[in-house]
Amino acid sequence: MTALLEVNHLKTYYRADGDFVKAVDDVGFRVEKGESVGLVGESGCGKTTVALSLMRLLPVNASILGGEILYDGQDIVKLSDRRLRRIRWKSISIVFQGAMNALNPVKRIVDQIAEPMLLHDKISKEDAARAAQKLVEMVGIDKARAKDYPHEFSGGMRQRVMIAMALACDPRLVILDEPTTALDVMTKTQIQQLVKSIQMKMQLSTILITHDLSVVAETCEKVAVMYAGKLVEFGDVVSAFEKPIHPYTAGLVKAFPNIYGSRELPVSIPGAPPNLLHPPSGCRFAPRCPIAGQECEQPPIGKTLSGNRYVECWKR
Amino acid sequence: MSSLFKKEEKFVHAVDGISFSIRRGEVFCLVGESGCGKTTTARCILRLVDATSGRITFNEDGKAVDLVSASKKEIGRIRPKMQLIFQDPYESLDPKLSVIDQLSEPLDVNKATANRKERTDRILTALSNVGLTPAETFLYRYPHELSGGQRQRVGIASSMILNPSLLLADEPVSMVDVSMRSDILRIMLEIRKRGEATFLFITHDFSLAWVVGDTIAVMYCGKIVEMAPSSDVIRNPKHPYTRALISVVPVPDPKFQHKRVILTGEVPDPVDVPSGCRFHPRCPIAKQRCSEEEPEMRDVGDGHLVSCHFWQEPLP
Repeated sequence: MTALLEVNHLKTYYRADGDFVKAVDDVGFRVEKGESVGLVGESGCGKTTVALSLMRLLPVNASILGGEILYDGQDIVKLSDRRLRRIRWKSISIVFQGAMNALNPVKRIVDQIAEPMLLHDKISKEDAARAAQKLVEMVGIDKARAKDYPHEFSGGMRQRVMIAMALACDPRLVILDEPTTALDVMTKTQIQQLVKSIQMKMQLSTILITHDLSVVAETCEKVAVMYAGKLVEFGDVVSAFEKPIHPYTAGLVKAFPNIYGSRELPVSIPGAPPNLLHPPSGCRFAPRCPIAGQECEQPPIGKTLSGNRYVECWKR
Repeated sequence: MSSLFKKEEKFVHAVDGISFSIRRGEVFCLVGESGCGKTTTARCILRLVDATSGRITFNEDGKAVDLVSASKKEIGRIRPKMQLIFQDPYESLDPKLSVIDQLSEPLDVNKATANRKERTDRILTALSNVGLTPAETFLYRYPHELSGGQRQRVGIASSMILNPSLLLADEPVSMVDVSMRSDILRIMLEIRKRGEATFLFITHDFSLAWVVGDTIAVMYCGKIVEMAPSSDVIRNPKHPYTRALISVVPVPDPKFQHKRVILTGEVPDPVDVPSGCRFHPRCPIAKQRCSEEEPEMRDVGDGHLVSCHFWQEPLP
């Protein structure tokens, strides 16, 4: 069976002072229909760049230098702008990071939700308005408030509006970039449950980008762990947490406090991520890795272990 | 203590009649959602905001001072004893000051060191105490040359340099990458262990309060609703608000079966607070009495303080 989305050997670099920041360097993973994949890593590891590459929404100083992004069999990297427009938002949509602050302040929310439909679908204004009204209710906003302006909503409510916008053209894959990071824990839970229920109802695939591994534990089926531009581990969530393969994954899992566990401080990973202008020539995690050896001075070759678990590590 | 910010003839009841005491040498956690008044509480203690009424007693060298009524001059004398650790290490350091200049400033302003040599020695000690070793190599670095974790260490070193007895840490790790958070927390706990300072730790994250706190006070809408030793609050929460919040704390374990209590609605507008118990509009067990009569804080055993009429009732 072909996956809904398959990313192979993706390379996205940023130009900086005649040099390249290797933000995404040979990354591959796949998303099946109806599946939720969590893409985790620390700030600067390249997870947002992956998202922007999937949508081909990269800033001017960045470009995709290699690899393929197969959506339903067609390579997004090679698509013309016109063909791309048919995929963007209609097939793959995105809820941007901090986007709840990016709503147009002088436009009613229901009109903002209708906007992508008017742009991408052949639809009358009236039908778009009706559909937008439906979406408002679907994301749990009181329909009487559909004509309110963004400033009249709290952060959580604005994030619901953003989710409604992402769903406007009935996509099959929604990328959520840190959708709940700025929200309080109760609001966060409300939004997570909302996304989960919509996903089930609409058979959506989602890619959840976050630095918070516990959110992935609670809402995703698969997890892709990124470190310094590399995808170091990919596989099902339960195994990744119970028996992480890559030492970085293991370190991350141990770095989270658990209120049902002991009161000990979680264990940090020593050191800091490398500068991606000049990353280590071998394994990029080696300088911080507790089990690094001589072979780690060469870049590790990715391999798939039993249980369909992908890992990039010499020691495993 | 209460503090009301003025707003067009109406008042924001940011902190409204709260009482607590912090024992010397403990880590006292104020936990609550954004806007609950936890930061305002810290600002009142530092007299960055004038409390409208109430008392804040600061005991130092056997002398008790009321920070609310103290003169400007007296506050100026006491302030070096109380220091703030800021949330965002990217904003709290001056980008144009090297580490040594950054740390010299408080010493110079307070004429704390006699000569250059003594000043440098003190700075080196402060840097080593926060794990920036060898300290000499950090003196002439600028913030942009440091990682997020290192910046936050410099921030803590500059808060510690005047040997304060009370440190107010406002979300000190929320901007630090997960893999380095524990290091920052460990530094704080070491400072505490050496008996150098007492902490007021402000966070929205119960799992952090769990690993660092001795006492937890939970705030909602300007009030403390529950206060007890950390393990009692986490393992045996009594107030329905605390019970709900703890039930939704993310757990880094995909197999964990949550019994989530998801509250509907959002934190009320602090200008227009609900009658009776401020939590009653969102409370799953609220009864008539809750909207009429404000519950008093009472000891329900072993110093576990709760303000709820019906704390013994199970949640649905």
